[in-house]
Amino acid sequence: MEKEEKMHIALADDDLEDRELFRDAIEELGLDVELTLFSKGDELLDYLHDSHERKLPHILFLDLNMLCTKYDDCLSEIRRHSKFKDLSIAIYSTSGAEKDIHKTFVGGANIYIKKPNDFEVLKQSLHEVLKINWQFHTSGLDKGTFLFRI
Amino acid sequence: MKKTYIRYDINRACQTILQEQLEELGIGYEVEDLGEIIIQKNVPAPLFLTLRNNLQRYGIDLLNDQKGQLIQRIKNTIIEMVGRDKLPMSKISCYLAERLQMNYNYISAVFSEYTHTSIENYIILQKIERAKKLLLQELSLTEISYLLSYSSVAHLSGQFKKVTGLSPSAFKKIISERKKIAYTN
Repeated sequence: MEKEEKMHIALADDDLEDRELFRDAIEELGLDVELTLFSKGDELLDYLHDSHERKLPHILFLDLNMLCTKYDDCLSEIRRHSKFKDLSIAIYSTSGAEKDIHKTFVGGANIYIKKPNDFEVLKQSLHEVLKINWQFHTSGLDKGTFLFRI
Repeated sequence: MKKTYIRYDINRACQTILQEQLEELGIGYEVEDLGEIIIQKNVPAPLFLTLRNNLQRYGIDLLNDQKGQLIQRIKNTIIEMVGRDKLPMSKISCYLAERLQMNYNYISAVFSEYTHTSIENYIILQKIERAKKLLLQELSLTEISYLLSYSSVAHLSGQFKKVTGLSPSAFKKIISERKKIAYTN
């Protein structure tokens, strides 16, 4: 049952090196996942808007500074739509400032990850995030109060 | 518009939905506890599919395979246990083995194999989920640690921080600020 459902992950980050690091980390975790990468916020939002509710990613990793030209910012644009209410959003940022973290959570993020400098730490953090998100998904836990900081 | 608080019994809600749907389709059934239900034999496939689709609208899934069913029974037993106002006094492994009438090592191995977590961590996760709900109902940490059988407030806060990365007060502040924004918009 739960094992057979494939985990679908999306990442939106405008930095090529960060995208590659992320992809390598996910690959090395050896999980059976489908990964979709975006370099532009607009592309991400078009993709989400065009996807059927049941086909949305299980989790979206979003760079905090991801720019969108069509919308104010990606996080608030996504949270404006009830279609995406169960989409877990993990904000992925170099900032560890308490003010940024608090603001991001209040703005609708479920997860806040400070981008680690070390590849092994990145792998470990992503694994933790994916594991807990999977529990929320498979057990139908309340995404409205799903907050996780790592 | 007036804000009204609701209280609901999730088990009763699920059972009622199940019964109504089965009766509507004229399928014979018996509802057992812990998410088990006995359906009459020889339900035609299209009718079964209609039942499955109707139930999915409520977030209820009919499970087919045996391991999947066992995982769900384990989860339901844990959720029911954590939802009580006092956790069982016996060791949790003994409690689960007794409730499910199965060897604990077996239950634990199947659970870990299929869920990307362990029974122990799943219980902690469910306890913290309940703690979140109680926090938002304005219960104090002392009250919550008593209801969830934590030895101390420090133990509860520590586990909360481990599961969420946030302190209970930081969690509460974020949720209440979100509600304020939703209310003013």
